[in-house]
Amino acid sequence: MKALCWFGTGDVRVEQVPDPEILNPRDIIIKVTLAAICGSDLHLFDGYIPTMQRGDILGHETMGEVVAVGKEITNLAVGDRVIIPFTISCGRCFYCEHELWSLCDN
Amino acid sequence: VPILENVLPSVPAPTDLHIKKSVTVNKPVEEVYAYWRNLENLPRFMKHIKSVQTLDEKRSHWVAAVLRDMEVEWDAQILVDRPNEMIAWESLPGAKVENRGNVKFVQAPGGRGTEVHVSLEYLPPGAALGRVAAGVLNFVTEHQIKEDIRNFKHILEAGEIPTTEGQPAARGDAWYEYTKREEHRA
Repeated sequence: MKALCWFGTGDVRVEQVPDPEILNPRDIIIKVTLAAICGSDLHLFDGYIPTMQRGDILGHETMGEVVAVGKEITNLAVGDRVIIPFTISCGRCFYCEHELWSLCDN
Repeated sequence: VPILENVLPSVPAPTDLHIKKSVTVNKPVEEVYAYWRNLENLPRFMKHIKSVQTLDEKRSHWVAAVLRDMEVEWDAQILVDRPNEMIAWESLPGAKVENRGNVKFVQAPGGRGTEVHVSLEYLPPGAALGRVAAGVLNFVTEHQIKEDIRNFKHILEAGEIPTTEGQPAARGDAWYEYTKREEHRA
């Protein structure tokens, strides 16, 4: 697939990278149809995030079509259209149980 | 943490290494206690412990990775085992690196599960084995134990330690090899 990759402060490039795979039974893979650029992408672009590594893929507010689901996924199916929020939440901690996903502990 | 590599072997270490960390786990105290009480689970979240083998009701055999190329083994025994409250253990005489630890489980307020309070202590080494013990003390850092305790929470709550490992990127040699293969195919 093509992906926008970070190569350093102020240096991002669209590159060919390996296709994603289902690595975890709770993964899904989507084909991105549109992506938003978030204000926090500027922090990455401007070099303020010390954990960034050369070659990392950017983009965390996207939408698209589900093309693969892990075997523990029960609420989505291939062909569904979804919007991806910036949070990655476990669904099982105190905060997730109270629908406060952006506070996820895990 | 004292930097013992710079200390002459005959000079006793200035202080013990004593680390205390706490975390709240959104699971009932029985479940949290039971996971820890099976000491063979410890290597799943404690990075410096490579394996723990249960020998009998009280005793266990521990293998710790102290440096990239060095392991230390010892036998330990459980001193206190109060179900759903506390477990305390201590290395048996003859351990190259004397150590002890305890973990307390307290029901958290507001239905938030279980508070887990961990205390680990590594004692100053005998002079002759200073280098082995110094390896442990360099490896077992407060920061690492904090990460370990967080991983304990991740396993119990989320059922896994979250990671991005294996996800695609344009990083380093792996990506270079990939692009070469792709060019070759085209």
